Amino acid sequence: MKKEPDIIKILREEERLSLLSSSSISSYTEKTTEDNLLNTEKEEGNPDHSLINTDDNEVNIEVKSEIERLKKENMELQKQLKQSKDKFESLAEYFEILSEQTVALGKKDLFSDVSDIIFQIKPDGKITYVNSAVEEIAGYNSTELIGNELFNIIPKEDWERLRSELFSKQYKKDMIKKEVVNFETFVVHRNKGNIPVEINCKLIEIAGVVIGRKDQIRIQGSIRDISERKKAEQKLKSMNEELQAMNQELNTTNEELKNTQYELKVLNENLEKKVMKRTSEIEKLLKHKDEFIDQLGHDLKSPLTPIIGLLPTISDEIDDPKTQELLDVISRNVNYMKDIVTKTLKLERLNSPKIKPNLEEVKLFEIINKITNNKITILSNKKIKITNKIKKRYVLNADKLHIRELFDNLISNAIKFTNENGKIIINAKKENRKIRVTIEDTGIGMTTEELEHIFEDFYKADPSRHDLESSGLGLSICKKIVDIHNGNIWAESPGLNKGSIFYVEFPLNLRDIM
Amino acid sequence: MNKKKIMIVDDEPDVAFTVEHNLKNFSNEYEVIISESGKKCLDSLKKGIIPDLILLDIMMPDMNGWEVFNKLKENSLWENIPIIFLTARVDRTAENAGSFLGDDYIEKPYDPKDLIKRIEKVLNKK
Repeated sequence: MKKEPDIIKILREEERLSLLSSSSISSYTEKTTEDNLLNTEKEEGNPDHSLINTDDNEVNIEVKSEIERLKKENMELQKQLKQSKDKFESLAEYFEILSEQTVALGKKDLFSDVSDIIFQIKPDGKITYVNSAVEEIAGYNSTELIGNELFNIIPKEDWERLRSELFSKQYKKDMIKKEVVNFETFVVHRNKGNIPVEINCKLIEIAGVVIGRKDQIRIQGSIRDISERKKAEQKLKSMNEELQAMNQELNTTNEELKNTQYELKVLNENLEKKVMKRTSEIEKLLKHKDEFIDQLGHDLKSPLTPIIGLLPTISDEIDDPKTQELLDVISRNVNYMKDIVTKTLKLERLNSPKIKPNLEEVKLFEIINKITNNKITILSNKKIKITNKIKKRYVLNADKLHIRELFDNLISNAIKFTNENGKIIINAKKENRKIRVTIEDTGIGMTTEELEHIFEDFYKADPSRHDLESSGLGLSICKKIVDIHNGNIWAESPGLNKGSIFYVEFPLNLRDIM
Repeated sequence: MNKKKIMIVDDEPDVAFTVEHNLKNFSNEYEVIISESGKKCLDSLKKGIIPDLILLDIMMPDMNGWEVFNKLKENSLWENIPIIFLTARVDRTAENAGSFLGDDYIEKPYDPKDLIKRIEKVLNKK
């Protein structure tokens, strides 16, 4: 409204003009009056009466013509004034248009830098206004679009939807709701194809419009390019899908794991059942085996009993040296067989996992003495001197029967492998909570090779295995007995014919250990 | 001097015969009674035949050595009769029980001299 002062100026001009015209008239009237006065004075200088009287008609005519002229002049001025007024009106009108255009221009400027499309359309879809952002988003010049339908750039069905949304719900004859309708669609770009957009719009009325006239209603709103958002959304969606897929995969894996776990559990249960079944089967088998061994032992030993029990009697009664020789062969072999049978069965018992020593106090000196006393015959036959140097107070917590068996075997071996007039010394020593028994002989001794193998089952120093006095199991039995007492057994020999020493070591607090 | 009555309880006649032979061969002081089963052993005892020593086999059909042993220990008339287990069994139960419960335990096949020695020892203890 900066132009208002000009309007005022113009208006004042008009006023001035009108004032001017009226003053000119009055001044003119004044002038004429003055003139008349002057004329009157002039005439007064002269004999007035006569002059007036004489010149009265003449003056009247002059005045009349003057008035006529003035009237004409006045009319001319009036005409000029009207022209002036008309000109002003047309100017004002022009100005109004100009100012409207200026406002419109101002509007255009206001939205030209906005990246969203700002639009105004008629209810029939014809675009009445659109800003320059449409070039970026739809590829059309804004001037190209004005007057065209909106659905040229958005899908027609979406336009119909928008329209029905606005008009069926918000437009009534006496009232217009101005709620913003928001929806997503896409703009068909002239070159680039579909561009996802978000449309926000509402109904507006053009100022001064009578409510209820649809043609005075406009839809005004904005269209925003949401490609980036869509892309982000798409990315998010695909990420989400990926996550879901991963989750699905995890679930599947989890499910599989559960299944596997279940399968494993079942397998485990089955396995446990199988193991239990197998264990009971094995236990049954073991029991069966034990029974079998018992029976076998019994059945092998029983027939040997009469043979071994009766052979000495026969031997005593035979005088013929040839028959005696034959009988000796039989005796030797029968005894060997007895030895093998009893020792194999014994070793089998010692190998049983159920074996447990029956612990009691064993007086070492006494037990060794008993064993050597039982061997007096052979000792005197071979003239071997045996010495028991063990201190009488030495007591072992051990299985008496096993200990007897152990030392019986070791002493028998010592006697067997010691030549006539040899010596055997048995001693014991306490050391580091252990008791070590040594059986030392002056016998045939052993090679290092033999020393390595003597505790193995069925090992015989004589590789031809012709030695019928040895089962090859005696030392195996010894080792087993020492093992179940948590002890150690080993042998040393300086070499062949230099004697041997057997060591047996027991932990002293055997009862505590077991 | 009264002969020593030795009762042999064994289901195997050859074994019983051998033991009898070994005993009689060693000394004519031994009188041998043979029972082929645990039942026969108990029957003899019931008839009033009380031996000085019983050589008791363990593995026998119908009534085994343990059962015979228990019957003997249940009766006050018999409980003091010395018992030597004479068995071909090899398990530790037999070995342990034999030596702890009975007066001795001799493994088959036995050495005749050893057998006599151990019988004499038990008889002398009594």
